[in-house]
Amino acid sequence: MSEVEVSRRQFLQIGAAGTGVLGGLSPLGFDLTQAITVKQKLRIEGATVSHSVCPYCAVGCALLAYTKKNADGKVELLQIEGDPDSPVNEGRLCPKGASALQLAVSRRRVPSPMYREPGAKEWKTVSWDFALDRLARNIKASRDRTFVTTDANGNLVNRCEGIAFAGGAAFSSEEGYLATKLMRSLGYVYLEQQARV
Amino acid sequence: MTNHWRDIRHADLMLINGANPAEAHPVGFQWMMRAKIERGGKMIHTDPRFTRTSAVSDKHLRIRTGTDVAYFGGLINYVLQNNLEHKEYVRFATNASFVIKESYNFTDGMFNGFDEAKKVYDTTAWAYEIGPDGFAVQDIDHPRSVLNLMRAHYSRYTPEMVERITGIQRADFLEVAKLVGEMGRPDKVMTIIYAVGLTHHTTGVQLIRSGALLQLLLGNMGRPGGGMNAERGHANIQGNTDHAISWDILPGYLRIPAPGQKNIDDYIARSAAKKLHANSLNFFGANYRKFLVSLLKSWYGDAATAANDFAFAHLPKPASDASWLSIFDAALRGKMEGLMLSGMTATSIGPDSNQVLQALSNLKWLCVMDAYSTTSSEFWREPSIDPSKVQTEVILLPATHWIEKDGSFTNSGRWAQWKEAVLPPEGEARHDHWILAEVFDRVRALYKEQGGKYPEPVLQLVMPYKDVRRPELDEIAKEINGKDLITGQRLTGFALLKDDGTTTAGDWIYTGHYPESGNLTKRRDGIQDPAKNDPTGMGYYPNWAWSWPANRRVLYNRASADSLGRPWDPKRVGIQWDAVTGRWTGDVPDYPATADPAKPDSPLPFIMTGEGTGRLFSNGVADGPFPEHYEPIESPIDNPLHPKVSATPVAFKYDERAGRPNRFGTSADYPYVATSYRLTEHEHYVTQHVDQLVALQPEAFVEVPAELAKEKGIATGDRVRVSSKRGKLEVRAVVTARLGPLTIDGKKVYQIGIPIHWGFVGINTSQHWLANALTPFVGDASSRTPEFKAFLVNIEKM
Amino acid sequence: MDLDSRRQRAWHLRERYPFAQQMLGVYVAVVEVWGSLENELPPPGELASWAGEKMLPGVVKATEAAAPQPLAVATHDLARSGRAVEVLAGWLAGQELGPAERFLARACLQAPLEALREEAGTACAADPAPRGGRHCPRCGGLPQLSIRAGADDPLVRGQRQLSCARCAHRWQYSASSCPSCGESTGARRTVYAEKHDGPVVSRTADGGTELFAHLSIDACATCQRYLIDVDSGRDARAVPEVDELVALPLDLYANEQGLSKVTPNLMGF
Repeated sequence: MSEVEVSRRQFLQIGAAGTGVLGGLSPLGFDLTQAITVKQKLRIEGATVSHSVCPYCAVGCALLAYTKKNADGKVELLQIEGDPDSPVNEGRLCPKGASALQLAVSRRRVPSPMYREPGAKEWKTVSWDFALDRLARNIKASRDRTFVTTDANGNLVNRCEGIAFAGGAAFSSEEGYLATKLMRSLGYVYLEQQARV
Repeated sequence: MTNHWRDIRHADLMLINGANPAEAHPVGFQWMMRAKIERGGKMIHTDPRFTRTSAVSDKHLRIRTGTDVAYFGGLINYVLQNNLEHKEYVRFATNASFVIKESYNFTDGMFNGFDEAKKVYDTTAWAYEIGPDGFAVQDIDHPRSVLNLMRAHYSRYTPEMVERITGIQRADFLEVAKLVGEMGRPDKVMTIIYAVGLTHHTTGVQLIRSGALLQLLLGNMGRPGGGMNAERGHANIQGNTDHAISWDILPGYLRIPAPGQKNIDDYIARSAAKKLHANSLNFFGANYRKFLVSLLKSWYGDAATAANDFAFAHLPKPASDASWLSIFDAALRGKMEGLMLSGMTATSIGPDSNQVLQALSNLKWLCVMDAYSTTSSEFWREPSIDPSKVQTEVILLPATHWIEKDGSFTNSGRWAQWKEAVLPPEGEARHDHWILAEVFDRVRALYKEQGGKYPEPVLQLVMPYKDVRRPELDEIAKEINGKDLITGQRLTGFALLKDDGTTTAGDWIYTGHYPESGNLTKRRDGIQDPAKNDPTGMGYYPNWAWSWPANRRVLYNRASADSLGRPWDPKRVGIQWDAVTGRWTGDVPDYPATADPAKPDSPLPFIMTGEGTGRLFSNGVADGPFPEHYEPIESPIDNPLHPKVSATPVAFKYDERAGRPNRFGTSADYPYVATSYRLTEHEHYVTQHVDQLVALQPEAFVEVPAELAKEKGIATGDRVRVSSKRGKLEVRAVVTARLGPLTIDGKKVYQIGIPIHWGFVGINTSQHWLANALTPFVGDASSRTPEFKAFLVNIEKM
Repeated sequence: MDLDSRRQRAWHLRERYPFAQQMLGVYVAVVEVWGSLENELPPPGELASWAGEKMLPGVVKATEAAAPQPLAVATHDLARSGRAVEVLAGWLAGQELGPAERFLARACLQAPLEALREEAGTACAADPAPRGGRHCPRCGGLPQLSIRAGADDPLVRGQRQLSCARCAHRWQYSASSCPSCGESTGARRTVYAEKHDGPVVSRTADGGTELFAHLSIDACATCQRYLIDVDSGRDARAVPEVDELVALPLDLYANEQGLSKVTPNLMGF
């Protein structure tokens, strides 16, 4: 920013800073008493404007998402709208995109890790530690049982044949990359996402 | 997409096949409407159904589902018979003049090279004649030139044959063919737009290839307003394909190594394209090793050295196809112990749901990571299943949603757009990447503690994150970009990658998206200032987000200009040679930026292929070097072209191979053709949890053609039973004129429409029918993409 | 330059927003003076002296009639001081002015600058400010307010324009970047608006009871600046320049939050 611009800014600020009201009068002498009363009665909330991208189809509509932080610290999503700057959607949304808010904020979300024992008729609520420990042990056991180091033709193949991973069309790209990296390092060959289905 | 959404507005003619963008991609559809309104572009919708896309098209061609190869084949034949191809482009930018080996043969539906025992083709049998210089022989007038073989191959696709196979009447076909034929003029350009209506077939790859062939003949590949444009259905299916959550590839479309490839040399010899022309740059083939070594350095760091072939041994080498159908086939055969699903519900998504439910019951364990419960997490209590008999251990982990995490989504047009974390994780939900990272870390700890099978890759994998259990997506984005290990600086492009172990790149096609100057996918210079942000006026918006590769907006754009670098159409410039500055200008060139096209040794236009040209003939596909029409596995007729080889001989029939009972029906028992599809108000299955959308489309239904409904006494609102050899739906009927009857090879054929979105999980759980209970367990010969779109059913009023 | 719609809107808003009656009265009085310009095209090269002759007397008279005493007196004194043309030239050159000087300059110069259209750039040639981006591409002035275009379809968000505080020219600007410093990180950008009960799914007017449904404060935590945003999608009859004047309570709120406006409006807010 040039010095000229700084000084312009400073001088242009005077009026606004000057609305610091003296005796209910503005610097130019306007009576602000009523406006102050109106302001005191207003319920104003501040919404943060974030950039997102629609989670549905792959047009890639840019979204503006408005959120606010409540007194209890919880962040509330107020509104989603199309980003008018986007060369892809130019501010437009379809019915799915416009209701993306309901996909994000829902009482139907899975509340906590759940576990269903073989043969059980119901879920049990479990801790993250329990769930991740079970999963890690299952992976290790299945990998060790089904890992093929050398195939029937004597080729070194180093593959895990007994576990499959599928998913990812809603992952951020970086998550997808990490999934590939980790699964391939475990030796998975069965790797799939929605590209085929 | 070879092009991108906004680019569609440059088209003079839009062929929309196997897609319904007005309803499935409504906001993307604006660019087709703008082509129509702003430049008078014509829109042809070829689809079994009359949809909202048809309603605004200039012409709707009702086609029998799964027969688009015959339609495109007919158009190819029309263009060639009438000499309407773009001759200069065809000579310059395709392999039309390459001569094919004498052993090439196509008789009665069979190409040469078929292995009866394995039921596959030896694709290397489809090869070029190689000259003494080691390159392919070229002679466009040779009887076995690609162009002449192609002419002969497609001469069978007469308008009469097109009508017999597709049901499109000859007069309608010729009306469209005339429009298409005009698109071979340099000042005209056509786009082909498609979606899963083309891909979800046993001939899916060839359906798309046949469109691509037409586009090459007309000189429309690489041009603004042209190309082959797939509309992808999920927000980031493109990005996660790029990053290779797919059995057959590594990040950046490097092939997964195969058994018998003992080292990187072997791997490169089998995977990378060979240079087939003296002036072919063969960029991908020539640099394959750099991309693989940089990937291995990203993953295995110091454990990847020249001495150990950069830990090539760590990469798993699959025995055979390991795609979607193969996963559940392995489970049915009792070979699969565990399955991890993230944001993807096997039960609803895959074909033959009843068989998939059985496959899930055969697993030892299943882990579902999702924001919502799914038909997979709840599969053990599907209405017909007794949970006490299901011995699968199931773990359901609450995952965060897209809006609770940052990271980028790559859209259909390959634009990678960064999004911010808008909300904190809901309740106990955790990010998928945190779940995966922590599970991996726990598995690694178990291997450290207990040892186990081949622990090296698990122990040596580089996790260069501040918190290995909670990596930031920003950290991963930097890893994907890659860096110079000597300077420590992130790289500005993939041309800087090396094969000596001094560079890293998690995915070479994304190298350059996050240089030291910052994350370019965050850029937001959009239409708020077109004069500044779109300097060419062509809608590239180079500083809005970032597109792979190298921020190029139209792939193959070298072909948008003639051999001397002059644009085919000066009004729609992709790139052009500027002799004054000695540079290509316009879009980011798909070509060396300073290569003077006037020089005799200047590279051929398609720098990614060994030929240096687009391929009208290719041995990269499993079921034929030229696309051929084959009937769906379940079809109401025998193939009029070659009744004895009606369906493709190389589709992998899982049940038959595994010795399971046959699950394909015949038209004697199931006389009606059915096709499945999506509705505007839903996205796959997740929207069964969204109140407003469930309110808009509350209930499963099938669409029944009015004439058939009359025959069967079915009225709108009646309950009907629709059944295939594999399963049934009992839902309400919507009687419609949108699906009219067709005359196929002299026979009246009805098509029934099946929207897919319902299941036994969601707000309205009384709608528990899974549409995929009907669909067959078979896929495309090359890609194994399942056949969701053409199968046989019966329908009865209940 | 559609003065009728501004005049009518001002009359309409006087009833809906009684607290702003005095300011709207001054505004209407100034607009009447602008009306006297009719079809006359001022000389862009000598605009200050031209306006000193043609506009100043009317503005002073109107202000004396309609404005509160301190403004009326200050305007009167300025006009008699012989410095008036110098003040007007200073405004065109982007110089620092006091609150009353600024009122006088804007009241005298906005209409002629609007009438000059592209030539407004020539009139402001002495201003070294850059053109384009966060400055008016025509004259280099700073934005007075932000305008969101309306759309027939409730699922469409209109583009954002900024309106120049000096020549009233409008130009397109990123909908989600700060008009003062260019900040685009979501966490730094806040919109303050009257509370709406329940989530907003589309932009259809849904019978809310807000007093300022179409007005909000577009603020930036990085530079602590804000502008009033007028959403034509929420009130198709809005005349942004006039409606911005009645956002006074929002201005007072913004000031309490430690924010200052990129440019105060004609009335000094």
